[in-house]
Amino acid sequence: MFFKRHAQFFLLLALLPPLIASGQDEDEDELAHFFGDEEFISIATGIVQPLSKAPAVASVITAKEIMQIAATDIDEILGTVPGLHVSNNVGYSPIYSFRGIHTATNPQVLMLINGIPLTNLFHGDRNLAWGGMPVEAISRIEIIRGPGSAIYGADAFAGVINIITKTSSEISGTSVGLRYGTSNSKNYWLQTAGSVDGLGYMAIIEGRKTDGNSEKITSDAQSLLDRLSGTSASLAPGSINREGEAIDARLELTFNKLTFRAGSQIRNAGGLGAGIAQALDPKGQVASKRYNADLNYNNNQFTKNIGIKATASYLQTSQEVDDDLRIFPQGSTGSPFNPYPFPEGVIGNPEVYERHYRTNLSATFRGLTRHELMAGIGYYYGDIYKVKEEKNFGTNPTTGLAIPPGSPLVNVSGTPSAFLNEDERENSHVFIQDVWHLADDWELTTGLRFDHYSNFGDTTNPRVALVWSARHNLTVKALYGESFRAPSFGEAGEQANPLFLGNPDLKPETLKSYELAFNYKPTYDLTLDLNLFQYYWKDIIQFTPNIDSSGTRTAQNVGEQKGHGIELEARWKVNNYFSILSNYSWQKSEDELNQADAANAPEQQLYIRANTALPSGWNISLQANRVMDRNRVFDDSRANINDYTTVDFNIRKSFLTDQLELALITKNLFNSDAREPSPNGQPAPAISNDLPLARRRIFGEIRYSL
Amino acid sequence: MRVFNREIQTGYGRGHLFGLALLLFGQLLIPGHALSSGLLIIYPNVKAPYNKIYRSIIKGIEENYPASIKEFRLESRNDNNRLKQKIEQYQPNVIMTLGKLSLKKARQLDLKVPIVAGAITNTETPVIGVSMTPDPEIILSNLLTIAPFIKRVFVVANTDRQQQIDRAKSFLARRGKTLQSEEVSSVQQAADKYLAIINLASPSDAIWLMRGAHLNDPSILMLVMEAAWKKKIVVFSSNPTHVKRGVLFSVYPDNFRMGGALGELARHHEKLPSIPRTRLLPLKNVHLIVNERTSKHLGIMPNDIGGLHIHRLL
Repeated sequence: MFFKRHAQFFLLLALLPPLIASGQDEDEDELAHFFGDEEFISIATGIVQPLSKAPAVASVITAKEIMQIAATDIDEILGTVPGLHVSNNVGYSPIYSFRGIHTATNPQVLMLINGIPLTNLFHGDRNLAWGGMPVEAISRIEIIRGPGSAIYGADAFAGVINIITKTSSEISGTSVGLRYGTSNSKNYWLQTAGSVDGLGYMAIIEGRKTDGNSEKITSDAQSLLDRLSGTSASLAPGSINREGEAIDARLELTFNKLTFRAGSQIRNAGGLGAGIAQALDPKGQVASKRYNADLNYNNNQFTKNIGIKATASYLQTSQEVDDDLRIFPQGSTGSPFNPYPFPEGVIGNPEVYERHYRTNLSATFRGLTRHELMAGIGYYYGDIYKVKEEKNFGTNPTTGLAIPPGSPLVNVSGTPSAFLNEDERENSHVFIQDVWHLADDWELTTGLRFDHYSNFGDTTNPRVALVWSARHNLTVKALYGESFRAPSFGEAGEQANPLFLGNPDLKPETLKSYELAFNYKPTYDLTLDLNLFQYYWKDIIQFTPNIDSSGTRTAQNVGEQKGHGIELEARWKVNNYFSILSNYSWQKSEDELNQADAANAPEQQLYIRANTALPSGWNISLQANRVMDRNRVFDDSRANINDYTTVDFNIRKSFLTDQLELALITKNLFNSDAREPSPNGQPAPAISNDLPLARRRIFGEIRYSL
Repeated sequence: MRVFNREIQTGYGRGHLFGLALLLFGQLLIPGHALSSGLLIIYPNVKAPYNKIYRSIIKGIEENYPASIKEFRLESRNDNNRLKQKIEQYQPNVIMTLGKLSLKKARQLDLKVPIVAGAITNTETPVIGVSMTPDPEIILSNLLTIAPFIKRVFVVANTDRQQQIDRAKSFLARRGKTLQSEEVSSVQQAADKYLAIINLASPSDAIWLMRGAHLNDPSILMLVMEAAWKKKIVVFSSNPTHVKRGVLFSVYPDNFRMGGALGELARHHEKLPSIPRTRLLPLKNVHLIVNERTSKHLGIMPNDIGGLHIHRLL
C-alpha cells in the first residue's frame, strides 16, 4: 500500500543510477583490480580490523554504512538492526528493545564504548540526561542479540551494543563538517589524526545544539489530576520538549602495544520530552557530564603461545538539573488529596554523581592444537559519591513536617527525604573460555564467568556454542547462554519518591536463551542469515503498586516473560554500484505473570535500504523502516498502537577527490505520524495518544578535508 | 623544509604572487644545495581508502632513502607544467613514480633523471622498479609451510605468464614437488581445465588460482570452491579477495616494506640515467592472509601455523 502510493518516487530512484554514472580514475582502477574492492583495501591497510569470531548472533555496522544511513545520532543506526527496535520512554531517552524485551529504563542492554560499559548505577541505564550520541567518531558498532554475560558480565542481557571509535590508523589528516536542519538543529565536528615517530593520535570534537522536535501531546498526567482535583493546571495539549546541547570530545593515543583514550560527553539544557512524570514541563532542563579515560595494553605475542590484554578504565558520570524540573506544573495540587495548589508547581531536582573504576586482565593460550583457550580476571568499583536533591514537597528533614505548597525549594540531600542515598558497589569476576575444534567443521565453544557482588552475592553464567561449517557456503550455529542483570541502585534504594520506591532485597534478573543461526552465501554477492531464538526471562524487577493508598510502587522480582522468534537478513551486492540490505524480524513474547502478550515491543519489523554509490562521487540511499504489531500492557484498554513506516532519503556528492562533500538528508520523508507507546496508568494512561516521534526533518551537510 | 616546499607547490595553483612570496620566504630558510639533490616522489591524488596505500608506500620509502625527499601529488590529468616546474626547481637525482599515471607523466617529460616505478603491476616497456605482483616463490613457500603435505600443485594460467610459471616450477622442483600447469586463452577453456583438475585432484594436491583475464570468473570460482570443499583440496590464490570467498590463503603487498624496497632501488639508481633493460622486480614483501574456516575444514589448525606471521585471519 505504502510503496504503491509512492511508486513514482521509487521508480525514479531505480532509474537514477544509469543517468548519472561516469568514469573512474585509472590508478584507482588498478588498485581496485589488484586488491579487489574498497572493503578489502580497508582490511589490508589496517583501517578495518576483522571481527572477533565469537560465536553469537551479531550485527556489525561500519562507518561506511553509517554514512549510507546518514545517521545524525546513534539511535538512527541501531534502528536498522534486525531484532532491535529503538523506542523511547516518556523522557524521550532511548529504549533499545531487543527481541521483545522492553522496559522503561532499559537496563537490560549493555552499551559499551570501546568495550567499557556506560551503565549508570542509579538506573542501570545510560542516564536520564543521555542526550543522544553523535556518530562521527564511530568506526563501527557491534551489536550482539541475546545474552553475553559469560563474556561481558552484568547487564549483557537482552543485547550488547559495543561502539568502537576511530583510530589513528583509520583516519589521517584533518577534516571538518557542519550540518544544519529542521528544529534549528546544528551539528559540527572537527577531527584530526596522524602519527609522529610511532605515536599515533586521533582527536575529535563534535557539537550539537537543537531546539528539538516539538510534536504535541493531547493529555498528560496533570490532565488526569485536573479532573480529580478540579484544577486546570495541565499544559496539555502542548509540545514535548526535546531541546539540548551536547559536546563530545575524544582523544586516542597509541604507541606500540599501548593505547590511551580519554573522552568527555557533556550534555546541557536537555528537555525532558513529555516531562519527568508524564506532565508536560517546557522549562525543566537536565544536564550530564561524563568523563572517561582508559589505558590498554594488548600483546598478542606476549610469548609464542600466549597473548595478553590488560585494561584499566575510569568513568565519571552525572545527572544534573539545569533548570527546575516540574513533576507537576504551576497550579497543580500534586495529589487529588491535597486541596492547596503549588503556585510554582511541584518541583523536584534530583542529581546523582557516579564514579566507576575497572581493571581487567585476560590471556589467550594457543599451545594446544585443537583448543583456543582464554581466561581473565577483573575488578570493578562503582560509587554514587554524591546525591543532591532540592524539592518543594514531601517532608522537610529539618522540621519533620510536610513542606507546604508555596514554600521555596528545600535542600533534602543526605536525609531520608532525599530520593536516594550515596552508596557503592564492588564486583570481581573470573572467566574462562575454550574453543575446541572437535572435528573438521565442528567447533564447540564453552565459557563460564563467575561474578561476586558486594551488594547481592554471587552469580555464575555459562554459555555454549556449537558451530558447524556444513558446506562451503553454509554455517550453522547452535547457542545457549545465561545472563543476569544487577539490580540498579534506584531499584534497590530509591526512597521518598512520590512514585517509585526501592527494595534492598532484590535479586538479579536472569535470562536463559537458546538460538539457532544459519549463515548462507548462495553467491558471492548475496548473504542470507536466519536466526531462531527462544528465551526465558525471570525475576523481572517491576515497580509493583503498594497495597496502601499512597499510590507508590515498590520494586519486586515478580515478572516472568518468555519469547521466541525469527530474524531474517539479506545483503545483496547487485553490482559494483548498487546494493540492497533488508531484514525482517518477528517475535512473540508472553508476560507469564499476567498471562498476556508482552507489551510495547514490536512483534514484527521490516527494514530495507538501497544504496547507489557511483564513481562520479554520487551516493544515494533510500531506507524504509516499518514497525508493526505493538501490544498494549494487559490492563491497558487502549486499542493497539498504530504501525508506522518511516522513509529516509539521502543524497551525497563528493568533489575534488573526496575533499569536499555535500549532502542533503531527509528523515521521515513522507511525514508519517509515527508514535511510540506511552505507559499505561490507573485509572487511565496519563498520555493517552502515545509519544509522537519527529515528523519530516531535512538537513544540509558539508564536509571538508584539509 | 618539506613543509615549505609543499606550500610552494600548492601556492602556484592558487596565485603566482602568493607562491612567489612563499618561494622567497622558503629560499631564506633552505640551504642553497637543497634544491639539487634527492628523490622526488610523484603519485596520483586518489580517494580514500586508496590513498592510504600510497601514504604507506611513501612512509616506507622515507625510511629507506637517506637523502632529501620531495613529494608531488598529481592533482589532475593536465598537471604537466606544474610537474615540469617542480622538477626544474628541485633537480632531483632520481624520480620515483607511484601508479600508472605518474609513470606515464614522468616518461612524457623525457627527463635525464632515472625513474624508479612502484605501485604498478606491469609495463609494456622495461622499467626499474618493483611490481605489486607477489613473487610466485613467496606464495609457494607459504603454501609449503601451511600445508607441507602437498605434493603437487595445479595451476591454470594465461598464455603470457610463462615467466612466472617457470619460476614456480623450478622452485617446487627444488623441494621435490611438482607443478602441473595449463595454459588457456578463454573463459571456456579455463572452466574446462579447472573441471578436469578438480576431478583429478586428491587431498595431497593444491590448486593455485592465478590472476588473469580469463581466470577470475565468479561462476568458475564458485564451482572450484564447492568441489574443493567437498574433496578437501587446498586452494590458494594470488588474489587476496579470494580469501573471503573461501580459498585457504593469499598474500598482498606489505606497502610499507615495499616502499622500503623502492627506496633502496632509488638509492642504487641515483644519477644513473641508463636505459632500463629489466622488467619490474617481483614483489617479495607481502602480508599473509588466511581463511580460518577453510583452514579448520582442511584440518590445518591456526595454532599449528602460529610460527608463520599471519597478518589477517578472515
